[in-house]
Amino acid sequence: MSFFSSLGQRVLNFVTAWGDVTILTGTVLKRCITRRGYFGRTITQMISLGIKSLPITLLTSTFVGMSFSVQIVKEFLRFGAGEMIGGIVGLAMWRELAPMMTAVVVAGRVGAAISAEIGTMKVTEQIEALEAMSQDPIDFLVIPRVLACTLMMPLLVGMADIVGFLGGFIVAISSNRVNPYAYFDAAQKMLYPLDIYGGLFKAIFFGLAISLISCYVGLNAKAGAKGVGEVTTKAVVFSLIAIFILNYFLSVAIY
Amino acid sequence: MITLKNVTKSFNGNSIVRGIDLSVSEGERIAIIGPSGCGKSTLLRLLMGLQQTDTGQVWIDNEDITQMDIKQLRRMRTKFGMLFQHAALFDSMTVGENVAFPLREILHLPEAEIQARVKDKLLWVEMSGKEHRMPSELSGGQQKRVGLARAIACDPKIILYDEPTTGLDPILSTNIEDLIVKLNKESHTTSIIVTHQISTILRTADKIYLMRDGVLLPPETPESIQESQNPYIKEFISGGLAS
Repeated sequence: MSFFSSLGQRVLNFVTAWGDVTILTGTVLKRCITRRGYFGRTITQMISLGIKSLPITLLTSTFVGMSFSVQIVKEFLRFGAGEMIGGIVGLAMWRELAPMMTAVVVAGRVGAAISAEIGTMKVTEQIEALEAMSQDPIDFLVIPRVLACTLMMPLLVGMADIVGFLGGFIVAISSNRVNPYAYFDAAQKMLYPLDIYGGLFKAIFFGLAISLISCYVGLNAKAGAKGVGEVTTKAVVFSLIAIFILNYFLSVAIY
Repeated sequence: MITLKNVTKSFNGNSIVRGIDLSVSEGERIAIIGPSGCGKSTLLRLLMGLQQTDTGQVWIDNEDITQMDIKQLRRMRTKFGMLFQHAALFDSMTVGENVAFPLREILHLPEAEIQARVKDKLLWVEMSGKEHRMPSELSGGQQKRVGLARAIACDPKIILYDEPTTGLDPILSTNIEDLIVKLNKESHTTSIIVTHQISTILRTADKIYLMRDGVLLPPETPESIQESQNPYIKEFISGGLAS
């Protein structure tokens, strides 16, 4: 009995949480259109969440491009398809690898930061202080972070696309068996605008999901350091799950 | 000015506030005392509409806030200033930015006036020159004083103090108590002080209510409460004075 009761409670909590996130999403999107005055706070968050994530994003993306190139150069050369390597690396980077890897990095760095900051504000009465001063925590905390994350993700992914592709290029030409011109020529022939825009389009949804989930769990932090620790973990885990699920459906829809 | 009629509030089936009636006149200083967890802080949150009552009415200046929507509640909250138990300063902002916050976000004052008011309020709480410090660089007493400066930045009519002296040493406690009394005398603000510190209520309140099991006992004065024959009050006061 207690097993079913516990299971039922977990299902109920899960459904309630996703219902709340959906309501929060609707509220945020509506207010982004109907209200003004987020500019300054959004710029601050764009710097904090976006610009400061750039180094780690570029670093990881470079190595992802290099690793991918290492894997395919040998195999493609074996089949005499060396002239296609640039195109394959480009397709993989623009369509999947750069958006996914950037989203994973941002979920870890930004998702944790957002949930920890808002969670700490919740348990130290700072959010209640905001409400006591006639401010809406959604307007003040959530919307600038959601806007910043949603706007910065495509920019981060765009940069990650380029450095990942160039990382693959360095590995490819260092094998001394791939023509540098052929690498770029293959990319030019095999990549279509949709491949590029599709990855950037995915990034918008990833940014939206990471920021909304992180803000939501932060706002629902329970008291104490343990509570803040728990929401930080939850934010990263739920963001990663959301990213992988979203990525599948967006890939099906776009390509 | 403030009237509570048969207010109740429960959490997860536990009744915290049980049918409270209370009336506070303009300029009055009242203290609500009681042991930790008896519902004092909840009562303050109900007064500001930060939590919803289960039943009953909360009247502020002839308006029942239990019937207000969120926009009306936010407008009504501009009449209040609140000093939180742990000051609740925004830790990402400097002291000056904390005090300026309500002036920017509620009153939308010009920057020059904001800076002048920030200086004025910090001077008033004896924290002049600390504008650029971060809250984490301040002691508990200093944080409380900055919290008070922020609470009074917009010159509210009503100030709520949630455990204003808890955790402070006797000298800092006296300092905060003096500020509460000074503010009431200079600005004629209505003060509601929630605490379990006996010394604070004796020094700051005109009228004292003891909260027990979610209800308020009849009011006492600082003099009468020390002579009270009510065994519960006697125990609370003697315990407080002994400690």
